[in-house]
Amino acid sequence: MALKQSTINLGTVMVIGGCGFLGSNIVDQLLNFPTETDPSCALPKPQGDPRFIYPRLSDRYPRCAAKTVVVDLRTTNNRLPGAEYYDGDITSAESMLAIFRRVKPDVVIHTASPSMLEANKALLHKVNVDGTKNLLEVAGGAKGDWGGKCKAFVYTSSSSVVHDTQSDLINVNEEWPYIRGDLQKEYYSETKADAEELVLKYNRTSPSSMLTCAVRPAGIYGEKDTSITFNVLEHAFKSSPTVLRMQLGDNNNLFDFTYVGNISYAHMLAAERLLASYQRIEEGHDPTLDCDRVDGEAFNVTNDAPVYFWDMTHALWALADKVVEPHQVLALPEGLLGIIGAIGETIFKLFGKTPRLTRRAVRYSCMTRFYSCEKAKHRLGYRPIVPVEEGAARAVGYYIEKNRPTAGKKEQ
Amino acid sequence: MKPSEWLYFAVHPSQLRSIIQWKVWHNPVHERNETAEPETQRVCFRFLDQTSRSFSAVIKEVHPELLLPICVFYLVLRGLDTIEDDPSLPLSTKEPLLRGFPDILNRNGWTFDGNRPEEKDRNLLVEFHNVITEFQNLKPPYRVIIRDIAHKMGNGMADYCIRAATEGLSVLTNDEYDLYCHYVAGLVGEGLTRLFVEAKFGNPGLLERPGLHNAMGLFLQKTNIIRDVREDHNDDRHFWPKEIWSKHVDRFEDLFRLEHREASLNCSAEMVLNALHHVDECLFYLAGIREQSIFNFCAIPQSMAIATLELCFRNPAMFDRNVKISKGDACQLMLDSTQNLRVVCEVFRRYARRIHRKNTPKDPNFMKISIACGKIEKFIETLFPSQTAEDARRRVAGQTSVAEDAKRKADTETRGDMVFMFGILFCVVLVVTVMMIGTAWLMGARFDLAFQELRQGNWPTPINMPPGRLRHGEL
Repeated sequence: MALKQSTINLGTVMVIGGCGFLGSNIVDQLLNFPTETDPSCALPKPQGDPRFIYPRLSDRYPRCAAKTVVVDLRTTNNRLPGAEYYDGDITSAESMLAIFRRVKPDVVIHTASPSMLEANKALLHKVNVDGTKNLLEVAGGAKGDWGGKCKAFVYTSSSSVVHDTQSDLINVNEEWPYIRGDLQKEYYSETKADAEELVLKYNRTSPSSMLTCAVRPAGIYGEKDTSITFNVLEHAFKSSPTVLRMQLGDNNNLFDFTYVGNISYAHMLAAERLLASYQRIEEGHDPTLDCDRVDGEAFNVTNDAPVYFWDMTHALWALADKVVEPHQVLALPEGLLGIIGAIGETIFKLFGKTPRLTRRAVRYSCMTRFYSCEKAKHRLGYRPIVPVEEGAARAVGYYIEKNRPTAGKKEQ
Repeated sequence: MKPSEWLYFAVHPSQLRSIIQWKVWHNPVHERNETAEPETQRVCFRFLDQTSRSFSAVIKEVHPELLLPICVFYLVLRGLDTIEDDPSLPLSTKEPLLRGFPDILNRNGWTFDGNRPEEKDRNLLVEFHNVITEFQNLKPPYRVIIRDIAHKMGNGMADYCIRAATEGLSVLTNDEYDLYCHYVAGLVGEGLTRLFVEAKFGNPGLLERPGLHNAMGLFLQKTNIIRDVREDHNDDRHFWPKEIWSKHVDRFEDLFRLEHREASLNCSAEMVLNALHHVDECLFYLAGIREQSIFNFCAIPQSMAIATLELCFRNPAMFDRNVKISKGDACQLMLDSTQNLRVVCEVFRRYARRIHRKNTPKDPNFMKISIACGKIEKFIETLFPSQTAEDARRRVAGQTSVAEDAKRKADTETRGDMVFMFGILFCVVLVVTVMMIGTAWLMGARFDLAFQELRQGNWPTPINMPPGRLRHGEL
């Protein structure tokens, strides 16, 4: 797609969680892709393979004019030249106030969250809910004056806030209600919903009239991805060819996989539009119609191209030179797998371990889960600039090159 | 029917069932009234039967208001096509005829006998005065529409003939491919749409979105171009864009060689992918049709096309011979296409999934094909949503009601109590049973003998046993 390149002016941007997978990608985009220009932080990828040749990101995403500041619990990972780094704890008001006094951000992009699979309930609540509340109040000026005004607050929520992790979601938009309480099987999603609600309710109510909104990414994958790509490829390299042929379900379930760069782009657009609204409000007129407003709203962000779940898996495996052809596929019905998963879980529980096949894994592999991102396209001007197949090549290329010594060792 | 066909249907009863269903139970929305037709009209319908085996039956079920206009429109375009297709006609003859065809429609009695004898539809032009007479009998607005399309299409075809004569007929880019299909098929969609709207059988909004009716034409034309690759190649005609086939083979002829079979399959898959991009607009167009017979007329060819694409997808046979969907499948498609848009959408979803099932990661366009199929399903979900926010809200609200919460908690406690009591009861019964059996055993009960007797089948208590056996027991 030939996109006319524009410039997004954001002033001073503070990325909370900027050393994480998504956060560091946002920083990369804010700095106009040093990973493509600076060899010291270039992303590894296989050389000489035409499947991993793709056009530059910096030629397609808009340019950003922003002073970039990163705050994370630890800032040792994923550092990029051109950004300032601060260690800070979002659950501590004093810690954050000190940083805000030094940085005086115009925009806060809050991506910090414990991993969905590693954290326990107490930590999830502490960081996602209490931490977000604390950060909102510091940024909004409710915890004391830090010498500036934060105009825009963009929160990275999750598409799972409307999902109970059991049912199918078919072309779901932002009108779907939060799933919380007994219906919600995933505590992570409950804390993300609580946090998102805090953020959206805080819109325009802070002492500085800060504007807020939330971005709900669905199925994030890409370079440095430690969940989707990592799990799929790890399975490919660990399993025998026979196991790779096993497919959970009939593969007629559509799933949204969203390239991380597109999600970062959505954050830029959201911040840009919040700043524009803030400017209009300060100038005394805000004629934005409800159907066009951005502040106080949540936005689904996807690649607008749902893919059959196992097609994505097979595509990633094929890029890693492990091809499973349609006639080789062993399609195992979901009902049977659910029973086997339950039995396996019971047995392994006696030994305090988790089997590879769980009921949860079966459900995730067989469910339909895709969203409508029309609202983001209409109100933010969002477009999925990097298509799914290129994102897949980027993610696999990164993984292969980064793990090449191990792969080489296995080959010997 | 041939014996081989009987054998085929014996093995595929569902196919036979579809054929019987269509033949016996299908009731046309409208039927043609032949007794009231003048001779020229009857001749036109005879030509329709001869020149269009597939469309003829569909056209004849169209609403009487548009039956004749569509028939004449079809024959006019077929006339143009017959001139354009004839390689024996020199350019100096062909070009004026194509560009001047709108005026020919006003010339009573005009005929043309210059086509070569092998030209299949030659007789249509030899007796073209019948078509002209019926054209003159149409209502003025329909005449204007047909003349206008004949004008555009004639010019387009003439341009292509000139290019073919000077540069050789070949389609280089995907855009040129789309443009060619626009001239030969997209314009047909435009003409038909204008006829529908004029007759008030279609939403006037369809005229404001030319992309929709263009897509209707392109989808059908591209499907035919994909399927007819072998017979076109035999006639030394190539319509597959070089932009696509040059990625897979160096020369077009290589597509038909066995050693390049894998590349050929990847190439045809990319052609199918290119065609699938029109499906969204086709379904959207069908949503704008208001009259049932017109809907049937539009939906049947589209359903046949998606089924044909599925048949061609990764099918090596299409490079060896002409492939066709089976009669049973065709009848089923016609049944499904004469209901409503929802049923037609189910047809498209079903065939999109079949294409997706045959998709292989070895194909460089594997992901794009998967996405194209997913896009069709997603679009269908916007037309007929499976889920609504309202249902989701009701479910959430239902669960969080305080009264229901309390009730559910009480039910849970009750159930827990019952389980607990049954558990205790079971334990008590178990303990008592063990104690009784243990006591009996301690008192000398011979359970081992009892088991032996049971195993031998001696169920009843022995009565009047012989003295010998009794004596043996005592010993």
